[in-house]
This record gives sequence, C-alpha cells and structure tokens, in this order.
Amino acid sequence: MTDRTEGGEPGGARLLALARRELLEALLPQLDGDARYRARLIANAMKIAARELAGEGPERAEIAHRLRGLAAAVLPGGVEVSALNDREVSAALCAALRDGRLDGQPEVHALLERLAQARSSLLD
Amino acid sequence: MTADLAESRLAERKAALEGFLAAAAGAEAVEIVDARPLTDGAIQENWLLDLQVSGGAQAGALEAVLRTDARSAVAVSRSRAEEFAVLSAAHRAGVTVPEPLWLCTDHGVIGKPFYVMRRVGGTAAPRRLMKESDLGGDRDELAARLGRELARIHSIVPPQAELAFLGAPPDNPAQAAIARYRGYLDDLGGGFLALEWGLRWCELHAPPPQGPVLLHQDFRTGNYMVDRQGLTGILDWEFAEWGDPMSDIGWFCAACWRYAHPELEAGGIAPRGPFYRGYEAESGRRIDPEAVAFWEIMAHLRWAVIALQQGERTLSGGEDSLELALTGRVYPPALEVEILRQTAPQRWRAGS
Repeated sequence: MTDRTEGGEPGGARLLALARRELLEALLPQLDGDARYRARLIANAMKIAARELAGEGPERAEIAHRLRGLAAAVLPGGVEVSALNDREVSAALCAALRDGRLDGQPEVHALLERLAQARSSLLD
Repeated sequence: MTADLAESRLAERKAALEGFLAAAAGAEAVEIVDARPLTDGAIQENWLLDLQVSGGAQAGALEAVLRTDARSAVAVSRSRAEEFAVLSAAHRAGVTVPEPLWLCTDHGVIGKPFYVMRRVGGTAAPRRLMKESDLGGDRDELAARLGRELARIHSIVPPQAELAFLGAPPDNPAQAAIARYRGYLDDLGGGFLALEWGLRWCELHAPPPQGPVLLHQDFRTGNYMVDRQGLTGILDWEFAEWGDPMSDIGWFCAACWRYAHPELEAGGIAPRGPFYRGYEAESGRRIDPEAVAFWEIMAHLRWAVIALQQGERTLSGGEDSLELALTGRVYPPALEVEILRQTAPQRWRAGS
C-alpha cells in the first residue's frame, strides 16, 4: 500500500485502501443478497483502481519495449518505430497478426502470453 | 400488490396490462395479484407475475414471467417479438422451455413490447449449481438431458417461415463470425493483440462447416433452470441464429463457462461423456472432438468481444453501470490467457 503523506494529508492510494477495508470489514458483514453482491463489485473496482494508481511494474515496461522490437520488424519501409506511440505500435502488430505476417511465431506467442499474464495478475 | 409493483412503471399500466392479458387469454378477466422484478438481466427486464385468470382455457391461478427490454438494448440482441418466435419454435420442437403464452407488440400497453411465458420452478444461478451437488438431480443425467435438449434445438433447420427474420444462414459460419469479431474489435478501437492472434489461428484452422441449424448461442450453465429433480427450462433465447451445431457444443463446454469446476468439462456440471452421448443419441449426429475444440476457442474469443462491448457501453454508451464496467475490465485478460494456451505455436499446422 502506498503510504505517502504530504504534511499529514494521506494520498489517494491510502484513502482508497482504507475505504475498501472499511467496506469489506465494517459494511459487508451487515449486507446480504443484492446489496452484498453490489458491495463486492465496489470492493473489486477499488482494488483494481488502487493497483492502477500504484503504477505499472518493470515487467510491463519490458513487455512494451519488446513489442516495439517486434513492431519494428513488420513496419513498412521508411516508418521508424521510435516515431510511434504505444497505441500505434499495437495497431501495427494487430495488422501484421491479422494478415498472417506473424503466423505461429513462438517469440510473438511468448510475448503475448507474458502480456496477458501481466494484465491478468493485476486482477488477482 | 407489493411495494415493488406499486412503485414501478407497471403500476400505472396495471389496468392496461390486465386488459391485454384477458383478451390474449380469451378470459373474462385477469387480475395481477402480485408483480416482482427479477434483477438479473443486464439486457432484459423480467417480472414475476402472479395472475388470477377468470374464464377461458387458462382459468385459475397462473404464475407467469413478463419479459421486456431493459433501458438500453444491445444491438446484437434480438427483439422481444423475435425472441418469442424462437422460443415458440423451440417449444414446438419439444425443447424444455418456459411455455410461451402471449406476445404484445403494442407500445400502448406498458410502453414497450413484451411477452409473457409460464413460469418454471428452480434456479439458474451457477453459484448454487456449483455449491449444491444435489441441485439438478443426478449430474450425469442432467448433462445427458441437456445434450438431448440441444439436439432438439438443432433439429430446427432453415428455412422456417416464422423465423424469416433470422435471414439466410451463412455459408461458412466460422469465417463469418471471425470477420464479425474483427469488425467489432475495430469498432472498439483495436489493439487487442491476443485476440487478433486467436482469430488468425481460427481463420486458418476452422473445420469444415456443419449444418446449418438453429443455434441457441448462449446455451451454458447459468441459462437453464433446475430444481432438485432435474431440468425445468432452457432460458435466454435472445442470441439465436442459424449456424454450425458444433458452435453451441463448444460454448457449453468452454473453460470460461465451467465456473468453480474446470475439471467438469461439460458446463462445470459433468464430464463431457454423458453430454456428448445424449446429444449424439438424440441427433444422430457424431461429435468431432476437434471441431468442438475449435469452437471452444471461438467461444473464448466471442465472450472476450462481448465483455469488451459491455465495458464500452459504460464509456460511450451513456450507461454508467459498475457491473458492465467491471465485465469489460475483469474478464478479457483471463480469456486471453486461455486463448493463447489453446493456440500455442505447436498447434499451428505446418505451412499455415
């Protein structure tokens, strides 16, 4: 949990974590049925938001770097990968996947698996 | 009348609705004794109606369900009138469904089209099916029964005059679906690498098409009702379409619909064996495990696309629903992991 205070002012991540704990420990036991289900949804959303606030780890940065490397190999001549943002890198890779230029490539598959695992673990 | 009904839109429409029901039932009068909303539908709105029918063939107490559109309808979902026609066709084919009673397309009655069906007992909640092993009766028998039911759905083949709205069946349902999902991903802004990988694998490895037959398209645990004895009704016909019968089998068996019991490959309730045997015995059609495996990958792709579309509804659809937002955020990554696992490089045919 990020526990940064600025002059006694708890940060957003800490407030979110405390609010979630309050919801789960103080309120949830008093709820049932639909209200209980909704409280769980709220707690889940708070957990995801808190992790996102904490920022992406070095794993995600490395995956992004490797995706750029893959994109460089499939870009049309004259286009530099360094000129593209992450969204454009993804779009270039999607186009290559769709038209068969990356069919069955183990290196691509391994990287996509790492990315999916990283996205998935954020939600565990 | 409960507080729910008194406070609801149905309250001010009570007399109009009773009038419609009496005429539809050929009764002297119909009284709505009670009405309670079911909160389960993200797309549809369902009401439990306790009716007292005076005169006519349905005279007496009648427990019914009224089904109508929720606030925001999804484009891919069928209209209530079309759903009623599909439900009626399934009922005629001997599928165990809540008996369809009356359709009302007149907006003047409750403000939007709806239909009424006879209520069936039991529950459809996957959480309960996973926890209570005696629910639904013997699970192998339940799976075999579901196989037979699905075969009966698939016994309906085009053309059917009353299902003309389904359009012409696609020549190649798998390739048509792949093209459709790619279009949806483009509409969502693109960039879905794992889904593109999976779709390309499917494009290259689709088995020869079978059918066409009537597909339920959401035939899975969670969409059929059971009580302690067994199956009471198959629900949610809003995605019905002509297509390849193996697609419904793949959807039912896909890992993403096994809930707490991934080892029970037929919908988290039983092994595949009884389900396949029930289907094969009723349909006379042989199930090719490789074709089913293909359609299970397609099932994950389809569910991922639907989840993203539901998430998108909260971004641009003007529908601020936490549940829909979480659907779009929570499900796709795990589906991607599963899609990639099932389309590993060694599963690409040489030369493809």
